[in-house]
Formats: sequence, structure tokens, C-alpha cells
Amino acid sequence: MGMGSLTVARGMRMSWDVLRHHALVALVLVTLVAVIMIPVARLLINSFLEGHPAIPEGWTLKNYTTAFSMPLFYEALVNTLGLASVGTAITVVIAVLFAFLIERTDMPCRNLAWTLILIPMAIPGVLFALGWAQLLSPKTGALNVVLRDFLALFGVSMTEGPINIYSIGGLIFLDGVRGVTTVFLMVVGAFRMMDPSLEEAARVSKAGAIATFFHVTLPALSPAILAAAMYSFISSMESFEAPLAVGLPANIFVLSTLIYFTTRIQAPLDYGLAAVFGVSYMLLMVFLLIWYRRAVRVSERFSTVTGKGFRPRVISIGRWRWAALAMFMGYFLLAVVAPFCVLLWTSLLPGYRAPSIEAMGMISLANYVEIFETDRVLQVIWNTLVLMFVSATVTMILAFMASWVIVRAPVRGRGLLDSLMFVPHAIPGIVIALALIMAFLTPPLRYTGLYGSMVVLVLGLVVAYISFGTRLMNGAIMQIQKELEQAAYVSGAGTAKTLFQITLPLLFPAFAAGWVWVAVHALRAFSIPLMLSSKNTEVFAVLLWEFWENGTASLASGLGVLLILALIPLTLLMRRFITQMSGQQGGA
Amino acid sequence: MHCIASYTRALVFGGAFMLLASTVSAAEIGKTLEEVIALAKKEGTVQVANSWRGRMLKEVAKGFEARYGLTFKQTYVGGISSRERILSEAVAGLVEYDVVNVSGELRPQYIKAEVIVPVGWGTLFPEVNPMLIDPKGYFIAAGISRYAIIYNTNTVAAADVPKTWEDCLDPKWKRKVAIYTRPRTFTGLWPGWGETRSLDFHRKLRANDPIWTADQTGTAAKIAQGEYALSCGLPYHTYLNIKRRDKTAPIAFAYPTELPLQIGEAFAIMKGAKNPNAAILFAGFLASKEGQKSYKHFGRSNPFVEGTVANEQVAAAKSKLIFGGWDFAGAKEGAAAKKIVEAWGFPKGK
Repeated sequence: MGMGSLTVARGMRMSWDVLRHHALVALVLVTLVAVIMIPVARLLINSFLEGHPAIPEGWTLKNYTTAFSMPLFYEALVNTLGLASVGTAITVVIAVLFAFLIERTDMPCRNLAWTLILIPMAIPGVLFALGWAQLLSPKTGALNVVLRDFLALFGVSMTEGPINIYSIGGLIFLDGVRGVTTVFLMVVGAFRMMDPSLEEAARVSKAGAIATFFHVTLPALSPAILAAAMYSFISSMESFEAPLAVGLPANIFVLSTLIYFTTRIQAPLDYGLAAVFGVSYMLLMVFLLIWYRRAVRVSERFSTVTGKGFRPRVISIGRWRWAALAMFMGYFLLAVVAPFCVLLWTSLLPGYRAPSIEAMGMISLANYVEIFETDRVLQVIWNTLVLMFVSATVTMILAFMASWVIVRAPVRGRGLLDSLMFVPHAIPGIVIALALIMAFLTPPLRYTGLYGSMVVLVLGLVVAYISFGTRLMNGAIMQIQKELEQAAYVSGAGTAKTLFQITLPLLFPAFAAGWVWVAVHALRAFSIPLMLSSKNTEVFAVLLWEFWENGTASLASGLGVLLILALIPLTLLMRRFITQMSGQQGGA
Repeated sequence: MHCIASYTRALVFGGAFMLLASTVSAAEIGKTLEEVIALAKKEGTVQVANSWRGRMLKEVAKGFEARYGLTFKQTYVGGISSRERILSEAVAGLVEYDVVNVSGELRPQYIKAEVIVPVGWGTLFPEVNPMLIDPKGYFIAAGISRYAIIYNTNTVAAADVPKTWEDCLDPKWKRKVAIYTRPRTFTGLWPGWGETRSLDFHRKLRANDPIWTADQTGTAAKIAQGEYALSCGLPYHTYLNIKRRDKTAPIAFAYPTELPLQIGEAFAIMKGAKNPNAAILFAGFLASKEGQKSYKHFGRSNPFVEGTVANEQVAAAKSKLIFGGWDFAGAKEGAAAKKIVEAWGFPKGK
């Protein structure tokens, strides 16, 4: 009888555990469905409505017939695909080359280069674009003025150019240079962990360094490179800041700016049409994402990167070492130094002027004084910090819970949750913002009174970054032995206690790395705050863009300089976490 | 389970509170000027959303306080998107301003969404020029925008500046003329030109490959920098904005032979405003003779009133004024804007 009682008790305990796990899965699923699928559903519904989302004027198919008969839509689609393709090609070539040089060769100052390659992340995309707009505006761009003076020495007289940033070439340049850091971070680990025996075999067979690189190293790392390239392509497809700052004056539309134009610039505004653009954009991205996931799964079968602790062989590149370093410094000049310097220059003048002795006489800190005397600045700084902190915390806690369910919970529905967690990656930021606008302007969410509040902004960023968070936490949770949690259960701890007092502390490096990553991106976020901010929830990006649009480039530049200086230490903090997580000390 | 119960309780109470809050009655609005003044003194201040900068703010603050003993707090809002955001917020129950300068194309939407209230402007302020009062009672106009050709004096000689709008179609200006994609200049011309002439002009304008821009003061700034040669159709006050920051900026303006005017600042009182009476006094003050004097600092003084800067400028230019007034502003302006934008090849909106 004693044994029978024990069996019944154990059975009841197991049923209760299963029930709790199911409740947890249900809670996580319901929360994430609400956060992700409701706005998406609202976007789809609004694509069949005329008029303002809050005061619809009836059902219609005209939004679709108008959109699909509009040449500008196809032009934007072609521009988006073309820009992403060529930009990604440039990004991947540069990033792979630097990953090789930094991790595998004897290029000088490799450790410094590893740190410097992260700094571009401290420059938000909009500032990068605005900086280069001031450098390469055809008539007055600082660099163009210098180039024209230089060409004049050879008898070549030009009234504008020779380089025009307001062109598809300009957009490709901006996109290609911007994406290098992310792709570098995605491939550098593969270069470090690659089994060196393949290269050694090539060298034994008398193959030179270059032949080894192209015929052995690259093919061996192609799965990782392909995965990074596809990720970069998808990210480029969402590009918004550069096309907004530089594309419109050239009448170059991409899908993201077409949506922005339709809901923020053109008169009258048209939400129904914008919703059609958003739905089309999202479907295209979902298709690309499915293709990406399949390609990554297939390529992982052929991986030659192992988890064993190989010490990578450093390849000597002889006299090319200094050329390699020069190439890296050239990239750093383009990606960081040049745009930062021109922003700093403009921030010290009453208005942008090409560098000259006369302009140097106008330098002062008046713009910085004006920025800090602006009533709203303290509120903007506070809002930005709150948004950053809350978004990062909520995202990573949700990601942790979702990942735990995906990796650990002995329940059905984990696969669905895993797929659901990847969907937001397919939704461009501008579409997330548009979907949230429509969701919170229509019943039932309209009655929450949350439209225009920080809650909606946080929601937007959580949706934008949850995919990254879950990918990171999935991998980290897999590293933790199940026995540790089981020991906690045996000792009487419940699921929640085990999760937050046992599992989460063990995952702290990954959690913290993810938190910092989301925080940095929240600080730099542009499209979502631009669309969703209200008077009381303005953040840095919104104020910066307002200054730029109102012709006060000097104030925008000053604010940009301050933002970059704030982001640099956070970005370097990421480096520390990346190092800790990967157990490496950087290139020697 | 405990967490779920707590969360559910919070939701229920929060929802009940919001329901209760929504049924609280809005602030009372006076029926006579005396009542409005008495109620406004209890309110004390007014929250304003408009696009003033510089000296205008100080002058209006001084005059408003001297007349009524009240203050105002301004939030800068620029462009149609910010007014659209205010509309969306009001529809969602978030009313942060008492009085808003509503963009022309959005006025019908504000009325339709019932986020603004009609006021007996003419009864309360009989001294205000009737042309400034919306016949439906929702808006009172304080500023009149006039549209000019703004150009860089280093790259464009005064003799070369277009004298007519059709001069802007000259091939010598191909890829040199900046055009703001919100067509207020050209909807201002529409009542005088009619549809045929307007659309013919805009198809030719598009064929001349202008530089499309997304903001007006930013465009004026690029003209001052020398990046663009000129813009055919920017409001005069953008020129003032540039000069205010940089008096040495090489930028000038010229009025063509036909000068479009638009109601530039049409104020409306928000439904659910916390300080509606103070807001009414504020808008009425701006439309009064004394308030109108301040508009010279903002570049939107009334050209129909003698002695104003606008009146002197247009008299000197000898331009023919085209003004659609309240009849054209709103739905007709919106319809014209759609046709123009379609002729330019952009999404035309509904």
C-alpha cells in the first residue's frame, strides 16, 4: 500500500509538472502571438480598407489594384533587390577578407583591428548616411570640393561631382560598407574554429597561401559564409535610413521608403495603400527567410567547423602584411572616421559649409549649447534610456522563456514556437511600425489608450529583436546540462524557481551579451521610433531627424556626435561579452 | 499561477479605470467672451502645437499675457506627418494639445474624426476679419502662407530667376529645380489655373526631371548651401527660417507674376482639451489685429491687410494673387493634391 501511495503521488506530481509546463508553453505562445500576430493580422485587414485606420471608409480591393498597377511599386521592388544583392556582395567580400586577415594571418595590430571593426556599429545608419551626404553631395560635398580642386591641377574642370552620393551607386556604397561588422562577427568564429589539417594538407602538397585560401579555406567555410551572406542580404532588404536620407533626392525608392512616403510625406496620406506595400514586403521577406533557413540547414551538414579546441595556424603573408593593414585602415576611414569628422565639422558651424579658412573662423560650440538649451532634450535623453533599458530587458526575458520552452520543455508545440520566433526577422522595422499603428488605432487595442505611449515603442523593438534573442538563447541553453535543472526539481524547486535561480544565472554571459546587443540596437533604432513616437515619447533618433528635416543640419550633426560618443563604450562592451562567450582573446 | 492571477486582476482593474476615465465629462467651454475669459483664468495656460520659431514666440507670449494674463507652452510640430500623428493620437484617446495648427489636407479628416470642436469665433471675436474664420466654425486662420521662388544668389543671377511658374519648365533648369513633394504651392495655384492648365504644367514639370525633396526648410537649407540652385514653390517663411539662423546665407526669394496664397495657420480646439477656454483666447488673439502684427516674424502675415509685410511685398511685386479661401481648403485642396501627385508619378493617396 505504501508503494501504491508513492506511485500515485509520483503520478500526480508528474501530471502537475506536465500541466505547469503546458501552462508555461501556453502563456509564452499567447504572449508572443499577441505581440507578433495581432499587428500583422491588422495590417492585412487594413490593406482591404479605405481611409484612415481609425475612421475607415469601407472595404475595397482598390488598394491592391492601385499598388500592383503602379510602376513605382515595381521600381521600388527592383531597387530593393538590386541594392541588397550588390551591397551584400561587397559586404561579404570585405568582411570575409578581414576575418581571414585578422584571425588567420600575421597582419600587424590584429587585436586592435578586431576592436575597431566593431566601432561602425556605434554609428547609426541614419548618421552614416547623413555624414556621407555631407561629404559627397555633388556640388557642396566636402570630399567633392577637394576632389574637384585636385582634378583642376590636371586641367580637369568640373562644376559638380565627380562623385554623387544621391544615386543608386551611392546607396550601394552605403549599404556595402555598413554591413561589414555584422557579417564579420558571423564568420570570424568559423575562421577561428576551422580544422587546420585541411590547410596543412594543402601546404604539404606544395600549394601556396593564395591557392590554399581560395581552393581550401573558402570552400571549407562556405556554409558559414553562405549563411552570413544570406543574413546580410535579408538585412539589406530592410534598409531604410540610407534610402530615406539619400534615396529620395535622387527619386530612388525602395520598398521601405515607399511605405514611409505613403504614410508620412505624401499628401494626402494613404494607409490602405501603405498596408498593401507592407503586406507585399512582408511576404517577400518571409519567402526569403524560409529559403535562408533551408539553405542553412542543408549547409550545416557539410560543416568542417568543429567544437574541438583547435589552435588556428597563423599564415604568414610576408610583405603583404602592411598592405593588409593599410586596407583595413582604409575601410575604417570610410566606415567611421570620414562620416564622424564631417558630422563634427558641421556641428561646430551655424550651417554646413565646405571646409575653408573662412568657415574655420565660424567654429563655435553654439550648437551644442542650443541642443542642451532645447526644452525637450532632457526628456528625449530620458525617453531614450528608458526605451533602451526596457526593450533590452523585456526582449531578453521573453527570449529566455521562449528558448527554454523550445529547447527544454517536454511538451508539444515547441517546433511551432521555434518557427514563430523566426517570423519577426522577416518583418522589416517599418512594417512592424505600420502594423502596430494600425493595431492600436483600431478596436480592441484602441481602447487601451496605449497608442503613442512608450509601451507601443517597446513592443515594436521587442518584435524587431526577439528573433536574435531566441537564436542566442537557444544555443546557450543547449550548452547547459539538463541534470542541473533535474537536480533542482528533485530538491523540490518549481519550474519558475529553477528557471530564474538555476538556469538563468548559468546563462548570464549569453543573456548579458544579448541584452547589450539589443540595448545598442534600441539606442540606434530609427524606423520604429520615427513612426511610433509621440510628443512625450520622442527619442534621440526622432529629434535628430526633425533637426535634419528642418534644415538645421548643424544641430542634427551635433546630436549625432553625442549619440555616437555614447554608443562607442556600449559597443566595446559587446566586444568583451563576445570574447567571454567565445573564450578567445582576439588575434595576437 | 499566482503571477497569472495578479496579472489578470491588474488588467481588469486597469480596464475598469480606463472605462471610468473615458466617461468623465470634458472641460466646460464658455458661451460668451466673458465666460470664456473667466474659465480660462482658472485654466491658466494653454498647450499649443505649431511650427513657430524665434522671435514670434516671444512677441506672442508678451502680447497674450498682457491681454489676458495667460501663458502658453508651444510644442514645435512641422510637416503633415506630425499633424497626422496628432490626429491619430486624438482618435486613440490621447489628447496632449489644446489647440493645433491643422494642415490643409488634414482638415476634413480632423472634422470627420470628431477630434476638434466648432467654436462661435465670429461671436466671440467680432473684430476679427471674417475672411479668417471657417464658415463651419472649426478653424480660425491666423497666418496666410505665400509661395515664392527661393534661389541661391551665388549660382543664380537675379535676371535669370523665373518670372512665371512656366519659366520653371525651361530645359536649362533640368535637374536643378528642387520641388517639395507636398504640393501646397500648386494646390494654391489650382483655383486660378483650373485642372487642365494645372495638370499640363505638372506633366511638363515631371518631364523636366526636378529634384524631389521631402521637406521644405531642409530644401531651403540645401539651396543656401549651394547644393540646389533654386526651388519653384516654397513658402516665404522657409527663407526667413534660414536667414534667422545664418544672416549671411546666400539665399533670396522672388514672387512670380501669379502668387498663390494658402491659409497657412488654421487653429482648431481639440475635443477633450484640458484648457479649451485658454485655447480659444489664444487662437482669437492671434487672429486679432494685435496678434497679426507678430506674424511678420514668421513670414505669414496677411497680404490682404494694409501695412503688413506681406501686403508691402506683394504690392511691390505687382503679382496677381490667387487665393482659394475656405471654400477650396480641405476636400477640394485634397482632391487637387491627389491629381498633382499622380501627374508627378507618386502614389496618389485617397
